[in-house]
Amino acid sequence: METRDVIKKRNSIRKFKDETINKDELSKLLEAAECASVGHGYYDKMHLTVVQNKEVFDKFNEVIKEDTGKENSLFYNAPTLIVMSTNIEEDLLAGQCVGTMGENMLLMATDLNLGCVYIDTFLESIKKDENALKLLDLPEGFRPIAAIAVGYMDMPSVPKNHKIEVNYI
Amino acid sequence: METLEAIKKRVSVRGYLDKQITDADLDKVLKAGMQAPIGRGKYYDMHITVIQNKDFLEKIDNLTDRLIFYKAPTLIIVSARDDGHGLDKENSACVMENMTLAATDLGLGSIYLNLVIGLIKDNKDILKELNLEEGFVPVAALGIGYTDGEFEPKDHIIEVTYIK
Repeated sequence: METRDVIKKRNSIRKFKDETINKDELSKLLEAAECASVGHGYYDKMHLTVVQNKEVFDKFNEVIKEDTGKENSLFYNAPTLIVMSTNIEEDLLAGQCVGTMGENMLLMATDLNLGCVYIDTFLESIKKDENALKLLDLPEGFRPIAAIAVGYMDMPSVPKNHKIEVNYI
Repeated sequence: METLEAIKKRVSVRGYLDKQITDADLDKVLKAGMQAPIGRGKYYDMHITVIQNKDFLEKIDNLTDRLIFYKAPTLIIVSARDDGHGLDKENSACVMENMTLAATDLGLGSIYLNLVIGLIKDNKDILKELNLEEGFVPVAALGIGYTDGEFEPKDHIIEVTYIK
């Protein structure tokens, strides 16, 4: 699909079919992430974790429920989560490097007609629970910042028009 | 251009021709930025400043001896207001990535810049001229313009763990 159409089409999908995305789709998402703008070329300071394991999801949902009291899965029971982590200490740079990787994956997912959403709230609960965090098996010194939930859509994709204020000098 | 092609072709361009981009292209780049995902839909916590005034650009360029925006004829600053959730950085990055991909798609060169932001934040005069609304802080900048070279995309590797 044309880049400009994909940028317009991307929107947050929060309901997924049970079926997991295929290997080829997953590999394109990861390839897109690797092409993101990462400050200082710190690609070795970024880490991706693909989670497709039901037991891990169940544990996450349990921990989230305990922490927030919310019954609903904060990752929308997506069959694939791609968690983005970093060992960049400075939050200002860490957040931006994660953001560009995330956006590249969202655009790639949209191009592949997959549903996706950028999420981070659920990680707050996971980070608080040592055992849940261990399930991510992150390299020493890395912390999760955000994730992409992705799968086959089980709700209509309705792109919205957003406005950000601009001034010209 | 196909999405994956634009994603793969995007490179940091560090040299620009002395020729301004068209208003139509600028508008397309800005619109792409506006379509980025913003946490909790708070698009009103984001702001974009387009700088094309030569004197002002020179003033910014003179903040240090180093090339901080590679004399790009257009500098786009993305600012954000942190609502307490710390999403300002990720939100800005999504706006930035959309703009740099849109620029690549249009055949323009672009570069994601951080150093210039630190210098602007440290300079009260320049910060004042940005005329940002209360609470907004510059987060990142995009240099954009025409370039005369072909740039070879680089292959980057990010380590992946699979939990199946």
